[in-house]
Amino acid sequence: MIEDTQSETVLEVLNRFQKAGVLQRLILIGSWCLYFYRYGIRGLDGLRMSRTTDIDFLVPRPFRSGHKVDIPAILQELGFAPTFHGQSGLAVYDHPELRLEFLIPELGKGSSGPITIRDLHIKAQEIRYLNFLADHPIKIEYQGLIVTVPDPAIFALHKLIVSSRRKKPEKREKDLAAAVGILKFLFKDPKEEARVRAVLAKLPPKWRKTILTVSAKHFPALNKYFEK
Amino acid sequence: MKVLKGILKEEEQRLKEAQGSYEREIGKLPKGSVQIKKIKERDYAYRAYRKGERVVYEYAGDLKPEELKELGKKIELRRLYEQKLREVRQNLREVRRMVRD
Repeated sequence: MIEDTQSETVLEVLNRFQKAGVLQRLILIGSWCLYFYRYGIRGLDGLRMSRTTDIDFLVPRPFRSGHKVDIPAILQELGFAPTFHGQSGLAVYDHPELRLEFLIPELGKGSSGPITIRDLHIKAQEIRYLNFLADHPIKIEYQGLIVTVPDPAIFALHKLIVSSRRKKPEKREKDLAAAVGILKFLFKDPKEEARVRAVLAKLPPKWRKTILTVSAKHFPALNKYFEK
Repeated sequence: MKVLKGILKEEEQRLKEAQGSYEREIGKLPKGSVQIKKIKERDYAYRAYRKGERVVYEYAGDLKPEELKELGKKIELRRLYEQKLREVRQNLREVRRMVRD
């Protein structure tokens, strides 16, 4: 329950994944990105990170196959236990302070069950809009680790989109807080501001509309930057 | 406040699931420790574990070195999972207290 213990566990997982040669093939998404943005991106060092017990890894699609890595075995050694959801074999990995999940972009109409990643001995859950994150990765160096995370501008816009689809208010609040936290910092830099607007302009009209509707409703102060 | 309660409820649910997962995995793993007894110049492996008040020494069979190593690893994993289960239960107590308050 202490953030330090939690961070230590996260770093241990990342270290083990890096040693096994799998970290560079995955993208860290979710709230733990904020932890790395604070250290790796100028201007985002004052970012506030809300406490989270979820650590999510995005498996890019198509997954670049390479050498085989037994991820469940690595997690077992670190004290994680698999928690199975339903009969599909989809597992998340639980720890006293954390839950680790593997997610994959949902393409087209999606599949009826989780996607098996044979090289990694895991199944990943399909989620919509993740390709938006997967298409804009950046690398951050931190304590000997090279962690791939989504571009923070993309991360923030993605959070605004998914917040509109959340049923649970607490999840929605967390998404909005993360998005606004990042955008407030990015909008301080005119170059970044222009870049965010350029990204927004290239998005499918439906996505753009969702972003503008969400920001107009919750953060009218930010909306003026989008609509400049 | 409602949002905070929601987050805590969600964490309570996660911890309950984690508790179930650790209990299930522990149930699959052997308990105790591996002990080697030398009898007439030969080594015999026993699994020692507590059953109520007494310690039981169970002959592990005629194990090859790699099988013995595997048994030791499973016992170690059980210990690790037992420690994690204690932590999960402690966290669950804390979260439940916060939900009540």
